[in-house]
Amino acid sequence: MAALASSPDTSLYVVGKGEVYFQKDFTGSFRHVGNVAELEFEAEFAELDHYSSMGGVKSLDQSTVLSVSATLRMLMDEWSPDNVAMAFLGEVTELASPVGATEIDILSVTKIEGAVRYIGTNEIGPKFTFDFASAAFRPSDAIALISDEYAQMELTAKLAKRLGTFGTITQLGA
Amino acid sequence: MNDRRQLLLDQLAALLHGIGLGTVYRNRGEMSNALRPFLSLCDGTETITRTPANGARQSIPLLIELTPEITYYPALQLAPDNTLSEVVGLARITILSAILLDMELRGIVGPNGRILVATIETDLSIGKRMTGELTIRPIFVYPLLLSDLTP
Repeated sequence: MAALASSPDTSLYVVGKGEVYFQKDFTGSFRHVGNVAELEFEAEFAELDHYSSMGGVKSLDQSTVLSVSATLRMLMDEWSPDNVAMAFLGEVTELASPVGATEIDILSVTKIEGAVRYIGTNEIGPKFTFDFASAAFRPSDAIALISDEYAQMELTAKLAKRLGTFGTITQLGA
Repeated sequence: MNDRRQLLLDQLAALLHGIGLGTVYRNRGEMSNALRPFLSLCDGTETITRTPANGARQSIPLLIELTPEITYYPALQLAPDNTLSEVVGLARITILSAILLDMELRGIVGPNGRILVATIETDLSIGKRMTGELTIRPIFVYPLLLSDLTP
């Protein structure tokens, strides 16, 4: 097994590419959601700052983190029934006829929950697998039903702890 | 050697040899009409689309756009008519599908790369020769890595 690089090393620069899977309701197999143009993680903190008033200008002398949370934004390209259901907050029902037809009841749920797995396939930089334990997705931008561009569906999930963890990151090697 | 530029151009030439549009000539200048129909493949240009952030110690990895030039020279027609458009159209589909569907080319550009088409031109317009030359410029985006620079 090749030794992993350590800094400084330009082979550690990353241009991210990869595949995204979703396990709805934390059960069953992970479903490939198709091409994802953008996937962004953002941590958020609520802090309580304390300032000293013993001088002429108040100065920060302590900061306490009150809460930590994170979001995962995903821009999906592929309009499969399951993806559309995520973007329109519905459930997919298979119709009796015509064969293969499906129906989605729009806004019938308030969020789509499950686990997310991102497997890095990038050639530039080290590859990682990200497992997000609990993601509750909602649409976070307008969805262009008529447009001159490829229509994309933007979802943003609030990440939560599940079984004591927000998730894990595994390095797959260089 | 892991010279992706050369691998891409060699695979492109091999592909073009197999699509039934005539002999493939690489990087040749003026060609005789007696050789028609034939394909011309020129290496074209490379441009850099993405560089590392400011302050990086080295200028790699880079994302490079390789834009070769493929020109199809159909057989000369004694009395040009509407069939020339069909000949050019068929060649266009044949070349594009060969490039865009080839898994080997996709493998060479890798997961950080992609394959696009920059321009498609014909000489079928007023003021030109109207002999049906079709020029396609595909774009191969591929990363240039340290490991690619080993001779």
